[in-house]
Amino acid sequence: MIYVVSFLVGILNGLFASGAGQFLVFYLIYILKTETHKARALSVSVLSISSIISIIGYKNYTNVNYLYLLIIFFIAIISSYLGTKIMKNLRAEIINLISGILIVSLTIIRFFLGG
Amino acid sequence: MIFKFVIIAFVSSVIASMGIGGGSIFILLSSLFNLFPYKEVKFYNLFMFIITGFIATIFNIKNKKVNLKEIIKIVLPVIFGSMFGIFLLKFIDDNILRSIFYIIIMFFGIYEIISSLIKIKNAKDNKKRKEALL
Repeated sequence: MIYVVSFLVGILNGLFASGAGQFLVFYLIYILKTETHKARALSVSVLSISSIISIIGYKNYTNVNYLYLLIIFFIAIISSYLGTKIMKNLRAEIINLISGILIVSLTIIRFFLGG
Repeated sequence: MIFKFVIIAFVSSVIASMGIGGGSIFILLSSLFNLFPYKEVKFYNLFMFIITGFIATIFNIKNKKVNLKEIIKIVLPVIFGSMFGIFLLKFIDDNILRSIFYIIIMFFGIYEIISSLIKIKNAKDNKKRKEALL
C-alpha cells in the first residue's frame, strides 16, 4: 500500500508542485500510525529528492539570479539546522497543530488568490 | 527587496525543514510581495527545498529519525509518480483537480487541528488527574 500511496503523492507533486507532502504525512501519521517526527522527517527527505526531478524541467530557464541562489544556499543550511533542532524539541501534537493551522490558512488564501 | 527575500527564505526554509509546508509559504509570500515572476519563484522554491531537505536529512539521520532504507523505499515510487504527474499535465486541465486537491488538503488540516487539540486536552486532563491523586 505504501508504494501505491507514494506513487500517488508523486503524481500530486508533479501536478501541483506543492502540498503533496501533506498527503504523505497524513497517510504516515494517521493511517500507518508512524511517529510524527519520523513521518515529517521522512516526508522532507523524500520530497526534496523528488524535487530534483522537478527542477530538471527548468533546465532551459535562464532568468535566474545567481546571487539569490547563493543567498538561498546559505540560508537553507542555517535554517534547516535550526528547523530540525526546533522540531526535535516540540511535542508531536504541537507540531501537528501548527501544521494543521498552516494548511488551513494557506489553502483559504490560495482559494482567494488562485494558484 | 533583498531584505524581504532573506526573511521570506529564512522563515520558509525553517518551516520546510520541519516538514510542515515551507514550500507553499515561500511561493505564497514571494507572490504576495511581488518579488519575482511566478516561474522564478517556483524555481527558487525548488532549489531551496532541495538544499533544505538534503541538510535536514543529514541531521535527521544523525538524530535517528529516518534511515536511508526507509527513504529509498518511498522515494522511488514518488519519483516515478512525479514523472507521470508532469506527463499528465500535458493532457488534463489541472484547474478542477486543483480545487478537489485543495479541499482534501483542507480536510487534512482540519483533522490535524482537531486531533491535536483533543490530544493536548487529554494530556492536560491526565496531568490534572495525577496531581489530584498526589
